Amino acid sequence: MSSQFVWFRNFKDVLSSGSWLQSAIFTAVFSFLVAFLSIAISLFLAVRADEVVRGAKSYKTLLMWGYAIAPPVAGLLGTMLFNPLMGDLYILLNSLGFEFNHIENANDATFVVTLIAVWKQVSVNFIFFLSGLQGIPKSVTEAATLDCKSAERRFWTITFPLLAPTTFFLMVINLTYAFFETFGIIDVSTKGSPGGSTATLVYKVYVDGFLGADLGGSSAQSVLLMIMVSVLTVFQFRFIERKVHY
Amino acid sequence: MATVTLNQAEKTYPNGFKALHGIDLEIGDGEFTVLVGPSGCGKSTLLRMIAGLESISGGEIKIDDRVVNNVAPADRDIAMVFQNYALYPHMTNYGNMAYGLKNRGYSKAEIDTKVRHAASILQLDDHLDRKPQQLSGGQRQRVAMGRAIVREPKVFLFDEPLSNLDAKLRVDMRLEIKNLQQRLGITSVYVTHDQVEAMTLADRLIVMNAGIAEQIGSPIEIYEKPASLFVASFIGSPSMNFLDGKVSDDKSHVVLGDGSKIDLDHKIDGGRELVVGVRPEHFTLIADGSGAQRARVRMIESLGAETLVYLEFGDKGENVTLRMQGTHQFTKGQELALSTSADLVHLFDKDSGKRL
Repeated sequence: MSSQFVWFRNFKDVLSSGSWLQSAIFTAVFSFLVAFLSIAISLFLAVRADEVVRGAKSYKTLLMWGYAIAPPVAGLLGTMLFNPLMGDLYILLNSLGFEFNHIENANDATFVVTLIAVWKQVSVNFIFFLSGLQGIPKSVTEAATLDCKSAERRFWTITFPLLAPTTFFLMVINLTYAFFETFGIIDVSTKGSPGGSTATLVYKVYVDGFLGADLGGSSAQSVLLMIMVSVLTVFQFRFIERKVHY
Repeated sequence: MATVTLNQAEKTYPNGFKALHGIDLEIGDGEFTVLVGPSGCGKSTLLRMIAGLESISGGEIKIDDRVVNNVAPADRDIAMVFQNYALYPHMTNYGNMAYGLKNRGYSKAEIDTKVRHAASILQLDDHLDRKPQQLSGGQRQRVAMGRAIVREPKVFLFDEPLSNLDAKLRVDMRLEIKNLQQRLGITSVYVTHDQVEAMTLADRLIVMNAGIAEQIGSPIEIYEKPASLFVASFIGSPSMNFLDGKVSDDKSHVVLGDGSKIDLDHKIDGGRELVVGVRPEHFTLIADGSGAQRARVRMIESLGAETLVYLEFGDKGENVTLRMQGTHQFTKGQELALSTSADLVHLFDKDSGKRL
């Protein structure tokens, strides 16, 4: 194998290729969905679990269990649940009349990977939110019950703002998770199909570099990815953290 | 303006622990009632039941004529000041005070007037735009009080509000609370384990022990006529001295451990054993005389304005504390002759601990 210095050719090729742009858009949508949904669902579950008095321990343990599952295993579970021949969820969705087909339909495939990634992440977020909730002084919530009758209003005006540090932290963690750690889930479940529509940028680096043997293009993508993540992190800390009260 | 009535109010926790055994209490309009007792006596539980933060297991609690057992805390028209302030850390002090009003649908202008008025009463005008963590402990507790008074509630509830403050600030805030309460005339219930706070603040004092109200009365009544050994030992600092005694056969006096006598004006059966209580300030030192109580000096604490002398009394070496005005010097082991007057002596039944 010979090598030749090509200046920024690889970057130019990457940025002008439609498949990279498609992957970038998918990554953005996917990351946003995963971060938003897993934070929202786990926050809801944590608030509910925090209110449970009887059997609280087993309830919480069950909700944390997912944490112990490795991403590829989660991907495998998803693959089985969505297997066109015997997957329970595949059969269920089709029997409900959705004409669900993630093998051919890009949106359906996105749904599958998002579902698996969110499910896998909810338990992690749940643990953090639960400890965040328990970190709010009891007297503060009690003072709020004297000041405000509506539990929903109390949540948005007192509990949620006090959880902001946790939420912010989880947002950073979850976006990183969606960017990088979902690799295992995608590799086991859709492998980026159909037509690369569920390939995140990280997955595409792997496919182009290791399977497509385009080491130069793949390296260029890695560098771009690093820049994107750095910019995103700086953005998060600059603009969102300011609104967070510690 | 309101009254609070407790009718056999009980609290049993889910684990079966009975924290309160039927409390009966009537708190008059504008009255400052203080619940005092050692930790675990149920005083905070009782306050939290009035607030609605703890459910009521039995009996009823009324605010004015309304039974509030099942009324949500926010609908009881009460305000509470917590020990650790319980301010909302993400809001400004203004926001903290305005929060309860906002949720009750007051207009912006009304809220502003009320908050600024409360802030001027509490000298917080300059701190309204800051957040609670930028204030000192005393200022935070003022914000917490401001949050309570802007609402103009029927009842103020205080849960050991001064415990987190340092000694000097505690004295200042104590006076301020008393002032404020008298000025606003709002019915108040105040929980504390500090008997100085209890004595100074209360119109009416309730001494609690193990889930029951041991004695209810004005601070002076309780100080002068404690109903039981528990109340006698809890109220007054240093604590009352307790000596074992026996009533003489002719019922004319009680004989103490060292053979000395105290005259009795009661008609108590001869030969009966009882506990004699004497407050440290009710002993006087006398020049050696017969019939006086004798005790040996163990230790001295000079506080400047007064001197506390710790003594060993009688053959059994019962501990006795003596409080004297001014400064005095004694040597360890020195023998002192004490005297007290019969009408300053408290007599308690040895078994039940009740006042005789």
